[in-house]
Amino acid sequence: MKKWMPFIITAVILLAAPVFLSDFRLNLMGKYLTFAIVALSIDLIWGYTGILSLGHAVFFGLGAYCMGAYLKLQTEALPDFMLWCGLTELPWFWVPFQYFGFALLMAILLPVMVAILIGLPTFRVGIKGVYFSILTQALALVFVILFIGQQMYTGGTNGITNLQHIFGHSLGDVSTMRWLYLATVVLLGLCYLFSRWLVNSRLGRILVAIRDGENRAKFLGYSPQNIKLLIFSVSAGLAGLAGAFFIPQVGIISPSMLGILPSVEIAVWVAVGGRGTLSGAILGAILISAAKSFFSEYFPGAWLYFYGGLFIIVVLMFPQGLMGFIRKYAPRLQLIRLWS
Amino acid sequence: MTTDNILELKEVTVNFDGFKALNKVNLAVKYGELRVLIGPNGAGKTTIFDAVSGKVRPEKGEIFFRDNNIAGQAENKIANLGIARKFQTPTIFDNLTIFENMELAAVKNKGVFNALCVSISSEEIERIHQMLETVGLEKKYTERAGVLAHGEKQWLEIGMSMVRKPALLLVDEPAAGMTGRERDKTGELLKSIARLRTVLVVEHDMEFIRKIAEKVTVLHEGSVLCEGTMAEVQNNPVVIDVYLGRTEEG
Amino acid sequence: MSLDIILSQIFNGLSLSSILLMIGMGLSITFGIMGVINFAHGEFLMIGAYTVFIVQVIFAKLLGQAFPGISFLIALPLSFFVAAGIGWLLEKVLIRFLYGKPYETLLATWGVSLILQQAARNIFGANNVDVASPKWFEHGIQITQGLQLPYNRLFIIGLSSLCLTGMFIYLYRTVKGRKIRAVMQNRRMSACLGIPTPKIDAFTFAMGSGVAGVAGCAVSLLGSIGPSLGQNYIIDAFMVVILGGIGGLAGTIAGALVIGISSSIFEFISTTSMGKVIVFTLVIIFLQWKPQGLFSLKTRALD
Repeated sequence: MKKWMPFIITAVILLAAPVFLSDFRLNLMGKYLTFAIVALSIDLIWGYTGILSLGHAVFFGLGAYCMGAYLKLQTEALPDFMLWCGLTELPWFWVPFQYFGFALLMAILLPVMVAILIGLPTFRVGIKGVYFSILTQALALVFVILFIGQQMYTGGTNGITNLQHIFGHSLGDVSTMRWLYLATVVLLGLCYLFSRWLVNSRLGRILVAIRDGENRAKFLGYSPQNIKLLIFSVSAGLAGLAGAFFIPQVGIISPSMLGILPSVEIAVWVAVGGRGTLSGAILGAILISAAKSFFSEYFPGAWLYFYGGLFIIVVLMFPQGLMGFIRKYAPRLQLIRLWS
Repeated sequence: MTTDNILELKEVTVNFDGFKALNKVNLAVKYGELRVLIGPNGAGKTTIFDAVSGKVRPEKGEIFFRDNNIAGQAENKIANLGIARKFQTPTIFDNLTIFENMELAAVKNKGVFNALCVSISSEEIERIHQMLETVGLEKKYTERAGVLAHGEKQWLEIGMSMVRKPALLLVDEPAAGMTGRERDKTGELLKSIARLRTVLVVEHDMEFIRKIAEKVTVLHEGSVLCEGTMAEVQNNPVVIDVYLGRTEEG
Repeated sequence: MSLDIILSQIFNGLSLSSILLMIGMGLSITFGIMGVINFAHGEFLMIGAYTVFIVQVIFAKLLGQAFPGISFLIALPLSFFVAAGIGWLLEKVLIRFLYGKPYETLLATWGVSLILQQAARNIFGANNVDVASPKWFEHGIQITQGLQLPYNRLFIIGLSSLCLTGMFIYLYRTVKGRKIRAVMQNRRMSACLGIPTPKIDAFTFAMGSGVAGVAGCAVSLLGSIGPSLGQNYIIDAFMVVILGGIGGLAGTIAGALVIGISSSIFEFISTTSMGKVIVFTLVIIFLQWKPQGLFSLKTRALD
């Protein structure tokens, strides 16, 4: 029971947030919570398995585009950007996105498929470490260019904008927003429990074994390439799911959100919070995103300096992130330790 | 056709960018043997282990393990066939506990879904504790493996290799970097293991070899030079020439 | 498609290769020698390019005219030293704490990259600025009716060859270069033999940064420059390193040629976006055949 206290308290606070947060803040918080899910997803692959993916924004973005397609079709029979590009009919692969179930399914499956497409050939030949990071970064670049280039199908640089309705409710309504927020809280809770189950199973220990010595794991009879592919796909699916919940709360998805910079940002959330700890990933995502909003409200010019400095300071001084810091310097404070 | 050899290398050649680390090596190890491979640096001892365990792919030749050709197969497949390898430097997982290290080794089914959904059986848990008893780490089983002393890490790795119940155990320089007492203990451990399994050891330390070896194979420049008991090998003029000609102090 | 067009695309690709080579050299050597992934490397390109801009502004202020030719000649060596100096400083205050930790350097140098870009935005403005090209680069050699080789691109190819030759002589024909290669292959052993590895590290890092600065100078001849200039090239430069393999000049040259020319050709025969997709796919397919890249050092170490 005791070990579930932090989870329960956090859940209660998050569920009660509509009471004490303004609608504007609540909407922001909903957005941060989708980020927290992405952070969880990258923590599984980086923190536990030691594979740094710098293309995770692609998976997040793909999820958001899938759900965006559904929302767009709720608003317009033929999306405005298609009209501008001279299309008179909905392309065949857009048609099924008018169904919510299909869109949600694709928001998970499409990222998983991309993850398999990139993971299978790279893990198969043992590409790892920074090589993999750089390749996934190139993937992010390729996707941005691709989505900008295919304007008639993706909305080009602007992306999918001007979304109005979900299930017949206006996205602008406060009540819709609150429901979306609560749904995101529930989703985050489920994703957390899923991740926790995963890392506490024997698979979790195999992941750590692969992280600390891939070849050694091989000589014990494990197949790192299969396990890495599985966890990379799971991670991509989670990120896609997060994207699907992101877009109705923000109302826009554009190629810039699936590029390199957002991908690196995701990694930094986890690095700041503490890789290899699930709570650290969630905390990092929320704290940094909140800091970003704060800076862009009050000191817009200083954000990148602060952010860049943060990268450096965390790497140099807190390699284990906030959670590592807590574990190291508050070993006696049982109450605090429980949370890490 | 079955033979009484558990491992048989036939004309195995390993080529590193033109350098022949192994040149048509023939080697046969019988079931239940404790065989020691010796030879000067660069003779190809570790390369034989690499080839058998799948780390390098032989350019030519065949490697039979229980009469199946395993040359060029993936490391994990070979491992699951029943070949365990103990590396020269301790290769354990520092961030897992001693028990968890053993657990990863002990579990039979290495598949992903098994790892997610099936927890370790009580029979396996018992086997792990027995093995920890044997290698003398039972008291520490909840500790992180990273905190162990060098010798203890070596024993843990031997334990991890043994708990898998391999048919063949490859051990690379087990005594390297150990103190005298640790070395004696390791020697005893290997001898007790050899009663149940086939063991192939690479070693430099002549004292140590004399204590454990039944049969010795001498390698030189990627080929087998001679084979026999320790006494036979030591009196072989060719062996003396190779060793004295290269390292006078050794 | 006529032969002229194909040849001119190859020629354009060659000039892109030259730029990628100048960036890639530093990346490959610093990764080989220190295990450091430097994401801020592209920003040295930007620094080099802005050096040309600053020299022109100073000329314009003092003499009332930019004198593109003379200012470019002055900026060329200057960009090397400015970039090398900043590189040296970066190595001293940050990089040397991160040796052998690629992930950590990756994040930290990303931070540096963000800071340098923002600094450029604050100093020079967020918009791109134009650098006046020297007059001598205005035309080109007319090979046939449809095939002209512009002087500026020829110059870039020449400049890159010069940097390459210099780097080659330095690495393979001087005592210091031998030390660098020794550290690259076995850092601990080199330290034991009395090679001052920290000095070698700092010096090599500065060299790599300097060459990237020169590349920035070259890039300023091709168009306007801005704070995110480095970002346009860095991923391609990393692809060069991955394709070529770590630890030698030969791999970097091969990687740069392949990426530069294939990008240029594929972007021409399809679209810019599809061109990128094709090149990326080809790199992945290529790695199936040689996962370590074209040229790489082999080791027997486990993990």
